Amino acid sequence: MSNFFSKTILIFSREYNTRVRNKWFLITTFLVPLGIIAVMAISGFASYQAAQSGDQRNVIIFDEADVVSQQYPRIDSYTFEQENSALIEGDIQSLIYDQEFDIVIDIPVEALDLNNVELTVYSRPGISLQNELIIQSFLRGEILNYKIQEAEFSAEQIQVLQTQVSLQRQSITQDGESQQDTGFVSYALGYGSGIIIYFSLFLYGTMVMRGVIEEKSNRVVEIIVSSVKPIHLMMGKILGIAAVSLTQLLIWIVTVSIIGLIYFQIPFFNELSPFSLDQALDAFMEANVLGFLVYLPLYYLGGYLLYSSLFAAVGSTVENEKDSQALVLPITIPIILSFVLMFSVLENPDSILAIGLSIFPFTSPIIMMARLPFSVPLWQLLISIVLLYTSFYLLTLLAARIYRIGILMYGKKPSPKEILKWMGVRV
Amino acid sequence: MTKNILEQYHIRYMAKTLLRIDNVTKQFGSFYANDHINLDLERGRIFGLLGPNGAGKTTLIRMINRITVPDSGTIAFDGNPLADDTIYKIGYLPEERGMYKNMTLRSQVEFFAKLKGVEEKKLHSRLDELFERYGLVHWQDKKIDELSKGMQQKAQFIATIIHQPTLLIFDEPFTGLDPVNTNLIKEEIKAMNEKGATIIFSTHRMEQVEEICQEIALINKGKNILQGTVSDIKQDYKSNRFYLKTDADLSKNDLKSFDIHNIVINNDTSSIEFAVESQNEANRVLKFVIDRGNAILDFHEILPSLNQIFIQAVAE
Repeated sequence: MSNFFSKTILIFSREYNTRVRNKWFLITTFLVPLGIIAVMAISGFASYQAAQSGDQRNVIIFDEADVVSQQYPRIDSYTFEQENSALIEGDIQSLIYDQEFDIVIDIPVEALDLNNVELTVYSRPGISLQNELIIQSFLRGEILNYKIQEAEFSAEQIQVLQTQVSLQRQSITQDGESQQDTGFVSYALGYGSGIIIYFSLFLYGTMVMRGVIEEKSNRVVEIIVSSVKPIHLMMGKILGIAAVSLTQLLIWIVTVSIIGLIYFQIPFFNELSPFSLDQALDAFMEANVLGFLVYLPLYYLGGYLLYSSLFAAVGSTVENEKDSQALVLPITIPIILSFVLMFSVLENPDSILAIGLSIFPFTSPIIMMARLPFSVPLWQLLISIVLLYTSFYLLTLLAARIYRIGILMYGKKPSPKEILKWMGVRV
Repeated sequence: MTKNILEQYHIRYMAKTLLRIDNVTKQFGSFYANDHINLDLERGRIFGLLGPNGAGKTTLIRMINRITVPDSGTIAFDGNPLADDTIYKIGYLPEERGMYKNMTLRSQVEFFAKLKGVEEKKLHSRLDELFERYGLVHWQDKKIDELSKGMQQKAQFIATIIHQPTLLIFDEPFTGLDPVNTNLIKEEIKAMNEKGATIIFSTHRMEQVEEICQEIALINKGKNILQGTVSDIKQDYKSNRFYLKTDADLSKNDLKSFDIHNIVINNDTSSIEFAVESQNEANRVLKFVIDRGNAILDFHEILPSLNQIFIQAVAE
């Protein structure tokens, strides 16, 4: 046993050290956060520019009946003006081209008698009316108020009529426990974690496969297996790359968090941000962040271990990456399928399909992340995790059988029938 | 009394044998890669494992290295069955050998040394010593990619011997080597042997074996067809032919009175070859030529080459 550990640690540390010191590791690890900064800076700068000089919109409302109060909606770079007369059709051209109004809105008196008020908005061709919805709801409110006033309701009656509607999700578990469902942030966390797992399964799975192919085609493998058992070599490699991926993930989380904190410290960005640092932190605390801190690493690692032993087995049967494609396909199908199904699971997180996929070990790492914001019962999480790690163990034993024979076979590519034979299946 | 003698004999026998391969069989599907192979390897010898490509040499070597296990039969090292720590006493240079291209020479050899159980405190002095001896000191921090093929092969050789193994196994060690490096490695193998290492040298090129190996085994189609010292085997397979070169031509007529056959006369070089039933007849021919007053320039028994022996043994 101690022999297993000392040998596996040797393989592990070689794997880890050479990969972490590799220039590509450094480039991708630091390029990704830099890319995020760049995207944030560019989009921030673009909206700042738009706010500063950008498309100024002068709006004039022809409001004969004096429907509109002077409390215009606050929209960046929009200014409103009001003319309490009817719009004369012949003036429109000069309003737009001589007096430089971008948007002309007409509220004719006759229209106010109808239930369905249709208003005409005039503008130059090619001007998109952004914030159309905001203006529409502003005008609807103003017209409603006008109609209420015309109907001569009392102040009390008006207060009774004023109603705000907002939706709060509350979910009830089977045991009757009720809990407030988390909002957008945890939804985003689930979605984001699913995507992170999806990409790492591919990225690090193929990294394991390439490593195995390299050792085999380099012919270094025979020297190593003369002092290490193939399973030690395979596990050392898989765990070494797992450590590389966790290192990378950690660097990303830390740098992105630091960037996030800095983002709110810079007044320039702070002004632009739709929410403040405190609001952001509150949202994170309210979301199931703790749950993600526990389950994301568990599923991240479990999914990686499960798939990478398969990738290692495939790598051992071929001598170059090109030959691996046909065999890699069946492995990637459940990964891609989980990714595609993740969206429908987000829509309907408690359906039988969603529950089944979040327990089935080949899809659970991604699907469970999508379900996590919607209060998953603990027993489902436990079954799913136990199944995931048990199948990793069993699958590794099977993969190791392919691996130990595959790495020493050169020349002919083995047929699927031969691979089954290596696994000990009678065919 | 008898039992005691047997025990004593057994102890002496065990001490002399380093590696004993007993009835080892390895099957791939219906194909016998090794078919009941028996070999005894004496300590301190250079042992040639010969056979054509695909004869089963590498399969046998892999089993000695515990890369694979025999389907039946046993392999004993130093009197004990192969165990986890046996590999620390074996150095193996495989035919299919390579290194990690993106590692430096020193960290690469260090990695192999650790796998073979070299202790950390001895490791660096040993590395320094070996890099010095093989002229790689200035290259040790270069990546394997940047080294010439010859240097890479020297590095592999160092990795094979760094843990000072009792048994060294070289599988086709000269494949792809230029004559200078071939000679260097050959001398090193001999030097290691003189220091007490037992060596297995596997090849399909018979001519390389004659000058290095003291003992050989011939393997063909998974079966061990011949084993012994090179001189014994040659004696067994000789056909009692002699070669005689004088300073004058000999004619068939001159040789009429002798009981010799298969005579080949070459007048260009004034030499003849002939086969005899008994050594005595060869002496008579020699005496005749001397009595005739001719000078003897060369006279020797023609021994078959290992290649010829191999072809003959396979035919049998």
